[in-house]
Amino acid sequence: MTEKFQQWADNRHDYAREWKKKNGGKVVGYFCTYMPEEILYAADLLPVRIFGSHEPDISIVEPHIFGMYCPVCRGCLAEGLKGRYEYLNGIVLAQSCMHMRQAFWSWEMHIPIEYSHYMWMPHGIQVKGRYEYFRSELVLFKESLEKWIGKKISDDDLDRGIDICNTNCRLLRQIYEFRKQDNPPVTGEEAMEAVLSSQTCDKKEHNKVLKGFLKKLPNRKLDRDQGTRLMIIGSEDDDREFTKMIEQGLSLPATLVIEEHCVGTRYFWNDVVPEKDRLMAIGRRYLDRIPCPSKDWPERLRFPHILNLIKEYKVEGVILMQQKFCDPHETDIPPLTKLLKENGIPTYFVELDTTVALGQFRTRLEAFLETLTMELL
Amino acid sequence: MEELQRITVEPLKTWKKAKELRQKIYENYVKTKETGGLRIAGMTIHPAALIQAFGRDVVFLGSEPYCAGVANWTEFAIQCQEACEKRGVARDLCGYMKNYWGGILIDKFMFPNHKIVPWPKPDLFFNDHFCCSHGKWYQYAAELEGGVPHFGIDISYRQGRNLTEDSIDYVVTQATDGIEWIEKHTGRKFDDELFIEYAMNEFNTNAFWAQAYLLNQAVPAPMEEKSFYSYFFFNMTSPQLKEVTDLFRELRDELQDRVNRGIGAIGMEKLRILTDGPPTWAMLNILRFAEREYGAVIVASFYTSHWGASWDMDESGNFVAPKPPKKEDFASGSREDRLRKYFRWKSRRSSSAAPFIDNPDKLDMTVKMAKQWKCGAAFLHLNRGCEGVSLGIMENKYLLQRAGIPVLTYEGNMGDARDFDVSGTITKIRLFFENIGLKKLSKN
Repeated sequence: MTEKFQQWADNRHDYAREWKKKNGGKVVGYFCTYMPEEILYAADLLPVRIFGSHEPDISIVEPHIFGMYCPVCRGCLAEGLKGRYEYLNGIVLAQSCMHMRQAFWSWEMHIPIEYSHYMWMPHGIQVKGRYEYFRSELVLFKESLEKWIGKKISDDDLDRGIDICNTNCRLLRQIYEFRKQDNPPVTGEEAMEAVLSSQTCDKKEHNKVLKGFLKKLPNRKLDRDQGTRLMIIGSEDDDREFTKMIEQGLSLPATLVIEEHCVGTRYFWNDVVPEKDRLMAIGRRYLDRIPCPSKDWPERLRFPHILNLIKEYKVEGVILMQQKFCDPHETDIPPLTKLLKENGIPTYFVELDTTVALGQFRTRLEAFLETLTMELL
Repeated sequence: MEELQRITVEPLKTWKKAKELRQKIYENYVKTKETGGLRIAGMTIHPAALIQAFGRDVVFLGSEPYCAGVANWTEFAIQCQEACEKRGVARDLCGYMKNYWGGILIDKFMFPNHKIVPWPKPDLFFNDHFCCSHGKWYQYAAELEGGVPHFGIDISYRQGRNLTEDSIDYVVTQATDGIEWIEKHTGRKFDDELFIEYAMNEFNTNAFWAQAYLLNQAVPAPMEEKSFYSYFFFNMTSPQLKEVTDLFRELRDELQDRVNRGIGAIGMEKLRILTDGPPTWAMLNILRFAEREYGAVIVASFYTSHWGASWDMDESGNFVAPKPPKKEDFASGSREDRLRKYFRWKSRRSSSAAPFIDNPDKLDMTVKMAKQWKCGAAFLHLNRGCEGVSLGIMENKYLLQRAGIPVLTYEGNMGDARDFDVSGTITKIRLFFENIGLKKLSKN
């Protein structure tokens, strides 16, 4: 049933090439989920999130990015430099962390591309004036796209783009509701593939498959032991092998029932609330979403949301997955660990790099599950 | 060995004054509470005049220069770093941030003369944010301090060559909100006259700094980078103070005098070097090594020239000093008008935020700087303690090399000497010089 998501996630480059052939359209790569895909859909473009491939050798980026930048940004640039994204017509970045900025600017400098746009998205998602300023950036972005594609993007187009993305978000949230159940009919791996594929394929197609999957969920029973209910908290995490290892490869059963990262709930947890000023409505969605830590200041908005998810999804243990060198998430780790401890939530910290040492992590996570199981007994 | 004409050197006359002023600023930060003053801490490149407009007894701690000072004292810095590591703070986080948090955790604050006092808790945090860490720095610091009110101004907006009126609207809206916030948390009122006074000081400080720095285009250069570190500190912490404006005017005059008389920074200037970003503060002796043994002197840096400063560029793309507005022009209009003028000054193309917000432009400016200051080589510090200044650094290397400027890169950490290999770096420098044909100076 979830094979389509898996297929899309496995073959994202082939999908994009086929889409271009079939539709005669243009494909735009983006680096961070703060990019308003609604506007790209409104322009009849296909937005695809750029991901690395977790290959061990990404030395190709060494002349471009300092070694202590995160594996995510280095992996993304490596894919570009290796020519795997040769089908992209454009790249865009909504200003986020410095690492993604680096990947974007190096890509712009060294990889031929028809179109590129850097959007100065505010970091101050709690400051006064943020909506108006971001709207002005969206206006500039829209105008830049119009110039490139040679046609105006109307309010009807924006409504269409908003509807496509809102539908996708809503359907994903509906699927996630099922993960609250005991013995959830969706595994963490399947959920990850559903979200991952929504970031790399046409959401119009994706929505159809999501609807079909959703219809079958009430009667779906998985032949597996739920085991310990786990949550992953992290930055960017598209490591399916790691997720699979947790749910299928450990000597004790476990299920990833929810996650808080940007190939997860952070991506789709809120919608565009329609208003007459479409760009303002889109801007609000991105400024008001659960923030990336790089934008989560001065008040912490992310932590109450995490505690809420833990409660709603009956989480029994949290895996903190830290991408090495990711400063914003690393800065949150000590206070987050303290908060989870104060709330009686067992936590285990793992640090990731470009490749993931599955064997070592298996041993460590099994030990973590053993301690949880003993506590439950 | 090659013989060169020896250059006359002299100590800087303003040096002692700079050292004393720096000590005084930190002492004032600690002592101001005794007389009812306010302590405000935050990131540098802050709206200095805005903060100072709440009273002459407001003392601002620019955290990065403080933490650089900590880093310069290795033994103390390691105490701070280890205190953080025991708390689970990642080793690769911003080196300055860890020196700051560490100080809170061990309840120790150091003065430049290495006197230690208990950590002075600020009344408020008021910080600018444009790198990934700054907003988070004070967020966690506020928690470690047991709850200090924290306000952040987002300055990651479109600036410089991309500046728009919407950008100015954005920052002025925040600044206005910030003024109300400080009023609410302190019971003090924003004084428009003080703001005008301090803003004019800040403009003039920036102008004098740029004028002084431009004099380093002279051959021989009248000042070297290690000395610049001690002065540019004031750009970052207190550009609004009259003592700083006066100091920079004197420095400019002193450097002009040195240029007129052919006084150099070092006795033999064989190679002029550009650098970028903060050094490993604990190991500044490597700069002296290069000067002493090879006559290789750092004469220009995007970091010391631009951090906390403001520059203009002329039509040919050369860096020129900015022209401060006349006081009556700046003072005219409403408070909002003045804030707009103020932030327009701070949002120029060639400013501190450029590396983070418009890195391609910053890279372009670095190459321009190398040419304008007649640099024959570049040293780039691959700084494990700061991802912000390392943004674009490898592309910086590529562009400089493409412009015909040989580049040495070396790894280090501005905040943590444990990440720096002194002897290895010295070997690299020797090999680099050998590769570019620079011979050691004769012992005579």
